Amino acid sequence: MTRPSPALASFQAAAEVLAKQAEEPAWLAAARADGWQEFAKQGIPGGGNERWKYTRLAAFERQAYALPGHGGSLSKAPHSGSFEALGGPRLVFVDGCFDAHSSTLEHVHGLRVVNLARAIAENDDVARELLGNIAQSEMHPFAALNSALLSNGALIDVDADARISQPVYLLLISSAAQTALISNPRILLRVGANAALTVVEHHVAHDGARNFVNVAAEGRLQDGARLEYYCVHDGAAGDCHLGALHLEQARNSHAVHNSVSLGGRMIRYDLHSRLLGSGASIDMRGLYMAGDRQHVDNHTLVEHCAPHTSSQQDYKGVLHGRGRAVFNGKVLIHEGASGSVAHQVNNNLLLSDQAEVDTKPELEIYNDDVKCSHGATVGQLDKEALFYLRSRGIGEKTARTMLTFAFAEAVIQGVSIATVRERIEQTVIDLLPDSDRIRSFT
Amino acid sequence: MSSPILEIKNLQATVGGKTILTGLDLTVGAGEIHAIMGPNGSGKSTLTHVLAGREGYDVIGGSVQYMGRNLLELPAEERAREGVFMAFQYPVEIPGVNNVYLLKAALNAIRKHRGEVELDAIEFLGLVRDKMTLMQMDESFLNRAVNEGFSGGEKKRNEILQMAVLQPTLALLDETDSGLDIDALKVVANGINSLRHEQRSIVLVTHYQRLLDYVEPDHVHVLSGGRIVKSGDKSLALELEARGYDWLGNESVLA
Repeated sequence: MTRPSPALASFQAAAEVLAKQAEEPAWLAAARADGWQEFAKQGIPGGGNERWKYTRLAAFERQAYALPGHGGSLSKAPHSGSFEALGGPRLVFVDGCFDAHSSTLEHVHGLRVVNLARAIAENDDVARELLGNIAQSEMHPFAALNSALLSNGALIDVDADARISQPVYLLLISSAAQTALISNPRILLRVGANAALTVVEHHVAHDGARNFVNVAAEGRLQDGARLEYYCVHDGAAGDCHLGALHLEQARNSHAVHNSVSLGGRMIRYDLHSRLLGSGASIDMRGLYMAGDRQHVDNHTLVEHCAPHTSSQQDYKGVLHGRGRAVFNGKVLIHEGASGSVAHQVNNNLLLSDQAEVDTKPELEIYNDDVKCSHGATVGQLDKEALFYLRSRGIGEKTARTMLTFAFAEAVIQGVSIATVRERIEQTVIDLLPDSDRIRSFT
Repeated sequence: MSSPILEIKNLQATVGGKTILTGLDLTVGAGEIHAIMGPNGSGKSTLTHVLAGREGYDVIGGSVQYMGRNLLELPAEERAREGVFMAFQYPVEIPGVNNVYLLKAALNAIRKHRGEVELDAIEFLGLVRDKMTLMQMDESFLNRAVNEGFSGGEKKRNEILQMAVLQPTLALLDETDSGLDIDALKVVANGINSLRHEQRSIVLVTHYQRLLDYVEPDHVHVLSGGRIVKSGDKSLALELEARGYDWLGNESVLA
């Protein structure tokens, strides 16, 4: 047998440390044990795994990662780059550790937001009901790893009929610690029948960060529930960043998911929703950008398990320099999911010859009575549009920047929270080549 | 006599390896309106695209002087900044770019080129509103994406609005009348007439005489087989309307 990689060996050591924490409830200890067993069985996926064919983690396996200390070691740097004034509860985590000082948890009627460590310590029923029961770890090894190594995160629970207008803001900071760290934030959501919730999961990395960040979110939407979920990866860093959201959607529930990845050495995001009840729907939108030494991978999987379910996917990518991106969108329509509708579009803009994208739609349909479509494009800017702008006196570089921004803007406009939308807009402009040329117009 | 705004001599051009313009001569003086008519495939659109500087249109012979300069050596944006404007036959839809954004960027690029101060948002909106009234366009139009979802008539009106904002020295209108109903045609013609100016020359490329009922040209030319085969005054347009283009083909062959 080959020796485990330094990363794998450090994960194992961490799992052994955490398994000995006697004060945890038995159900969590069992979830950790199951998680480690599943992860150990699968290992860190390599090229032989179809789901990881275009995203290789080998470069991150060569070093060991330490578990972050519990409290005390929090970075004292101000949390620059956070979204201000979202007006709702805010939970801040630094390298996976809860930063109570920076968090605000004012009471909102019908909404319960607690840090997960506290919920576990209090043997919370909802945490217990959700944890490990939505993510299908046989398909998602890192969800299993997260269970084995989780330390903290958030539990968000919305009562039936409660329509929460303020977004719940989760700020997750990866710091430039002396030793590379592994953090496993876990986010658990339950949205009650006919309730509505908005969540902003925001990742910020300090310059020089080179951690292994492994986020797992699980959510259950009950009948008629609405969830608007934003996952924003903002700014470049050296982290290996893996994230996932696993959803179960009951009858007539509706989810809107926005995934915005604006750069990072390695970002892999899995969005897996199971539409379990009739009339359930999900609308998925994504914007990703990658330049030199950056890799962004979006893997989606929507399972239509009931009649009249619908899913919509619209992902756009802008690749520059030697940026790499992957989009793999899978739609699985199970037997019995008659009258279902699934549409998927993935458009990519390649701004340089060295940029590369692998895009792969997958449709698996076990039913006749469905409407499905998919389309993918990889290309350059529209030559007609470029000439049109130039014929109006606008210089070529400015015209290119305008058109690139316009391409991204189509996704940004779908962000309904103004503060978040404006910040994303600004970050996108900052990242565009020749962005000075359009700054004065926006 | 003052020097012409545009002087084209023996212009030959190819598109995709196919020769379209075969030796075209045309001189346009300041303040003049010239109509260029001709059957489909005669090279009308190629002429406007060559003049606007579109890539893929290769000049293989002849010369084009614009205000005493070699127009052909300038990139498209430089031509626009020097006062050349082309109204597109098929205006391009640009999702994500607002009309107001395009107009402001274009106007300020041209003003900067001329050494004039760039307009701020308030000055710019004041200017644009006047022009929109002229073109009978609703203000909501400003925040719509360029030509996206516009009707044929709206697209053409938008082209003339841009012309009104940018105030070119030489306007090339490529079949601006095509696809317009009579009401829209009148609005477009009214816009063009309001832009008649002794310092502005206009070249109207059109398939039909209809527009010329409303915008009266000083000169009418017939383009056939890639060159001007006949020139005259506005009565030539009426003659073409009555007799079609076939008689000219024979005449030019005989000539």
